[in-house]
Amino acid sequence: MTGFESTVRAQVRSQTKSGIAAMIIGIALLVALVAMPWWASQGTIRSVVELCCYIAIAQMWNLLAGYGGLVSVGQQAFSGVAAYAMFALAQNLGINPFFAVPLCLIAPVLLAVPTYGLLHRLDGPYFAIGTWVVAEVMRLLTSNFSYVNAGAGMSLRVMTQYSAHERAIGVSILCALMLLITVGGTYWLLRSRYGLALTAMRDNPVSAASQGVNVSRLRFLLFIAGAAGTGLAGAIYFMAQLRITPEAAYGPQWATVAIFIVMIGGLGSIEGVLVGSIIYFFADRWFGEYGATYLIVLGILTLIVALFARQGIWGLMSKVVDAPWFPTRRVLVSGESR
Amino acid sequence: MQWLDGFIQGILLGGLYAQYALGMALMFGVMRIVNISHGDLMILLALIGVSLVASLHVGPFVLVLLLVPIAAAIGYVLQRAVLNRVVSQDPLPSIIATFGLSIALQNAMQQIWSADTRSIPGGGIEQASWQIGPIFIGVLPVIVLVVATVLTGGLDALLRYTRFGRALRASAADVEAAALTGINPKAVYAWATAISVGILGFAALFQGLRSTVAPSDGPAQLIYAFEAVIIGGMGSIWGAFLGSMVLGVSQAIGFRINPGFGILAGHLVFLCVLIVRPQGIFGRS
Amino acid sequence: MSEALLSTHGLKAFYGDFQALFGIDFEICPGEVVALIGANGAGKSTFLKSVMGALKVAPDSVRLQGKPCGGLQPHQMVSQGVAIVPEGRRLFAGMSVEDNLRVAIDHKAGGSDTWTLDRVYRLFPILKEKRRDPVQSLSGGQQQMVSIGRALLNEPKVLLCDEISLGLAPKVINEIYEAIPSISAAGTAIVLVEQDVGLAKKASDRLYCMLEGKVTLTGKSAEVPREDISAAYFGASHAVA
Repeated sequence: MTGFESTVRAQVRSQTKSGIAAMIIGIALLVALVAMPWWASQGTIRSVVELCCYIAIAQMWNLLAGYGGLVSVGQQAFSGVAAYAMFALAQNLGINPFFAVPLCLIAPVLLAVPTYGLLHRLDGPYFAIGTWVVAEVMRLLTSNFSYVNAGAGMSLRVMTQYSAHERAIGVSILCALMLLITVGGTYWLLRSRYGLALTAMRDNPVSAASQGVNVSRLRFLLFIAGAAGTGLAGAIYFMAQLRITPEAAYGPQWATVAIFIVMIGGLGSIEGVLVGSIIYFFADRWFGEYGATYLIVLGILTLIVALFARQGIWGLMSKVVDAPWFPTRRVLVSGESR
Repeated sequence: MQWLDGFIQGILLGGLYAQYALGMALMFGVMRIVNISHGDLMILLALIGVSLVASLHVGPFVLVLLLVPIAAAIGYVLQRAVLNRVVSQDPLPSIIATFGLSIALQNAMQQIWSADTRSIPGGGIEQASWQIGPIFIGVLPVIVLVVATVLTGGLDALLRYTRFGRALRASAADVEAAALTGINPKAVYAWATAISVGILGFAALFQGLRSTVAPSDGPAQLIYAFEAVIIGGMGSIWGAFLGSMVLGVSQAIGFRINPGFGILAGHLVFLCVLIVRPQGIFGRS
Repeated sequence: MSEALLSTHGLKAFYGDFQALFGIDFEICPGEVVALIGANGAGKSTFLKSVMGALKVAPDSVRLQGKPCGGLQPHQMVSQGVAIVPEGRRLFAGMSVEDNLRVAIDHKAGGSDTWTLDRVYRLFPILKEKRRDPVQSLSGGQQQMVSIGRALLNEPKVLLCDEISLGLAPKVINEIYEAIPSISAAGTAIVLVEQDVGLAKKASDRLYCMLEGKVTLTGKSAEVPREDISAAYFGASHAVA
């Protein structure tokens, strides 16, 4: 930061070398992601799309639990309803599926408003299970709703109008946009003037409220944003799958994945989500074949992290080297002493 | 007449739900935590019951004498080893820890007992019923309801009149002050969870006798217990009991409207209670 | 002076990285009333919390009848014979007066039967009248009586009182302070944490004055001059006795 020395006596520094390096790498990765149809195999593309969806869903869960203090185990209500809305718009109403993806986000937002209105009165752990009930209600309603083919599920046959290459291009662009919105958006939010309020709320909601942070309004907005972001991931995931059923869309495995990623990686940091997503992605590839045993280990790891290492892997790493990829702290530097 | 029948069957079903809900209400009332593996523990106990019957050839009465102490021991160890480390103002650690435990338990049960549905043989009691006019009332469901009522009354009396009950209520009201008055909160919590899971020993037997259990059934039971507690009114023991009746009746009536609608009807009544009376039907505002 | 019942030796306490007590030496003998005075934030409540085991301290820094007992849990301190009337009363809301008192009887220190429900009701007759009422329906003074009664029923050798006059009317304060001689007459040592210097001086045999986590003055309550107290209280000259 020596380049900043000047006649200014003191200034606030909020970017770091590691942050600039991470941003350059991040932009390069996004470019590689968009260019995927020209360099990657179908199998790789499918895997990368899945990884992107995990990152987005986990990032949204992190935003809620890590900053808003809103622990949900039912975010699948929003990914599911968005995906179903996208299928209905594209398949039943004939809207272009790629255009239907942003359009369908109205559904999770419309669901999130009454959900939050009903559940915000419940104490923390009851709020969590309340979100699960909402997801179950959505699953049961969908299973009985013939417009979306009830329990049998739907296929996105309209996608056959595109070639595999064209589909890959569309999905890759959507994935890049999704990461920009969820990860980049969270980063932008944390660096904006809301960032300080969010961090204050994360550290202590009561004192944040006494410092003039409108905690309940901020939580509401976080919940809505979290629903929309989770919905986007759901829509893209099932667009890549080309098929959806109520069991897959509203299954609790979504919550398991999000919770595992955030807790292992590190709650309350963007880097933690990325670290956790990569760990989960490879764990799933390498050990997924062991089925139940693999899930037992996953569950026990989550338990152990909650008991003994609540800051996760990123938290442990930060204690050793302080090199944030997404610096959100503001550091006062004196121009003269440099 | 089918509505009266639905109502009666619903009350009887509520007896089973009450046995899930009591423990949850107790744990939340004392520690402000919810054990997400509550339903999975019940399933685990029922499967242990299935195996005990298969290997020891015991009847339901002996089985319950074995299951309840096993359940209480599991609860005690669970609190001492896991939950005492996560009791705090922050809801996150306890939710995450028990969520992880729930995933591990479900899959471990699937490894040990396979994904099949099983039931506990009751030696004919599960089929016996009384006929009153056109309505059949099962003997077993009536026993379940009676046991649930006795458990609720017993737990209420325990809380009101015993040394342990006072320590529990004191810890629930102000845990720091309780410690400063000589109570060891961690011991009190461990016994509270032992009771909470111990009651699941009864629930497991009856669930196994009345219908079937499979390793993946736990979350549904957790949700029923949760809905019963919220419908009834948070933290109160009789509230949880009555909430279970409301949930049971909602599901039974819903089922008679349309078999696919039963569970959903329970969820919808729960949501309606949240809209109209968020403190629960029997809760104080 | 007879052997100390409770003593601290270079007691240090921390809230995270923040040090709140810097080596407190303190002692109290059986039947003695010792006042602990000082301004807000001087460390009086922290001192009581450290003695009770609500804060982590070194084992040797707190001794009960010569035996090290620092670092024990609060409930273990109670069973060793140290009870506290916590700041802000901290009654068990939702429970009746009598149930609040019974909790203490349930968990009293062994080896003594000085206090019974009846004796507490004789000390504070109004509590007998209200014994079935939920504690939150009582007035502030009555609640303070329940809190004192609750601590007494723990059968303490040492009773720690944290600001028992706070927020009460002068008449009620007098009523409560009148009970103190009859408590210490039973052999119970009493530590009174007080902000009201006059009240503390009058009610105690000896006093300690604290400032910024250190003891700045100690002496017999009747003999310590007013000027010395105010210097020690406000830190004008940091005179350490």
